[in-house]
Amino acid sequence: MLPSAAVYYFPWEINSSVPEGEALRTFGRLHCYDLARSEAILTAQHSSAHYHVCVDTRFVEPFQAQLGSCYMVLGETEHREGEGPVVKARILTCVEGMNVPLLEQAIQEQRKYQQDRSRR
Amino acid sequence: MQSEIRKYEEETPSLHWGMDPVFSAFARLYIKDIKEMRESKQVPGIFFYNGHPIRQVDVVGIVVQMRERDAFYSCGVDDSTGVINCVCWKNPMAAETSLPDHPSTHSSLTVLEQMKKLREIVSQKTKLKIGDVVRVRGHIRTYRQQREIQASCFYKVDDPACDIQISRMLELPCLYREVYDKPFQGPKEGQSGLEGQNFSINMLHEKVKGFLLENRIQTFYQQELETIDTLVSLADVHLPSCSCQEVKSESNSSSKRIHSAFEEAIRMLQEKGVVFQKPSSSKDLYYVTDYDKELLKVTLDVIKEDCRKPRHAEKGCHFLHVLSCVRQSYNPFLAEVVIHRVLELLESNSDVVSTMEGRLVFQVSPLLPYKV
Repeated sequence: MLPSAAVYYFPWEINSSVPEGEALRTFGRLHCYDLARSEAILTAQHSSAHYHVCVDTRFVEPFQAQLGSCYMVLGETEHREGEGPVVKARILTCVEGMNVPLLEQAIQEQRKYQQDRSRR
Repeated sequence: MQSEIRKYEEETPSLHWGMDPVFSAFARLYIKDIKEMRESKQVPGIFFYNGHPIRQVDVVGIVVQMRERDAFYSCGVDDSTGVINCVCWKNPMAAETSLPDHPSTHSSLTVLEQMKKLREIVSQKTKLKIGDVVRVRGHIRTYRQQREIQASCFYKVDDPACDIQISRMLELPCLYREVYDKPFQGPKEGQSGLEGQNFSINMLHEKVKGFLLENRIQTFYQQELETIDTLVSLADVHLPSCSCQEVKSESNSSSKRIHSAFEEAIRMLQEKGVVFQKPSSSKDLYYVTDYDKELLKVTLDVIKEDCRKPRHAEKGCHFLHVLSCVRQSYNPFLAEVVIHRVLELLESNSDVVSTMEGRLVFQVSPLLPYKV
């Protein structure tokens, strides 16, 4: 059984409106990593606001956490009581040096094309 | 709505597929589209994206699932639009063949070192695990009701900063807009009027010729050809579609046009000497030159007879002489091209050999026993 496709989400789109169990991929700088709780925080900046994405790293451990580096995470969302959504990572990759603005543009282009097509 | 349904049901005849450049390319489609596009009714394993026949695809994505077998990897690849299983065969050559241990010369030593390096790189590039970015090219097949890609080529993409994935994400929408989403202009729409018609008749005549020779047909009536579906679909294909009101008259004139298309195709075959008619038989009956045993025998007998004469024994007999003899004893209206074709056939069977340029003179092959 294949998992469902992990669609691109911008870090600032990951909030309580994302459906439970949604397969997604997103990115951000590794802000902190709590080995004991298997939890990492990715941060991103968008129009002068800071956003953070909580990542459950249980399935991808052990991994070398390089604080401050850019990471790409792929996994499913889980809503936990009293917290925002958590991304349960299936894949967590360090992509330090990635051209983030270009990736953002590419995601926009892909979405725009898919929208244009569904309108036809 | 109706046109939507028609578009869905219509399928370009397989003979025209090669004219679409997408057909011979590795189509770079979203995995979602690969899983959703419609399979051809004519040839399983070929798919249609927006009318384009797709034979092979090229995908880049992240390995999200992995099963390793002795001979292959079966991995789920995710490109953010869909996930598809890819069957990637391991290279048995790299694992089995061993390099010689004792190189004899210095130069072979460096070659061996380079071979070893190459092998290491190949094995690194083809060892897959979850999280790797992979590029897979191959054809699509359905296995247990699931589409998968049978990789003809696959490798791990070295993409530490996602440059390759980003550039592909930027490229695909353009590629779709410029190529895949534009309908394939087949000969039925692309060419109009006489040009399109000539094109189709040319195709039809080639196809009829192939049909006659493959099935070793000796004689046929035109009506018989008009019952062969694969040929009729070709004869009908250049016809523009008309509105539904005139269904009856449309079907009537359509059959007329099919009839005249076949007439024209047979006329072309006659001009090339592939088929001919006999005055003694029905005017609708056609004979296929290659399988008319009587004609082949008469022609060969004429040459045999003539080559017995001392003055022809060395040089062979003249084409015009053969022609007039065959006309005399077989069929006075036989076209020159038909005899040309017969002589070519006899020569390719090594029954006769041409002794001078231009195939003017023939003699019975001295090396082989005559066969008729």
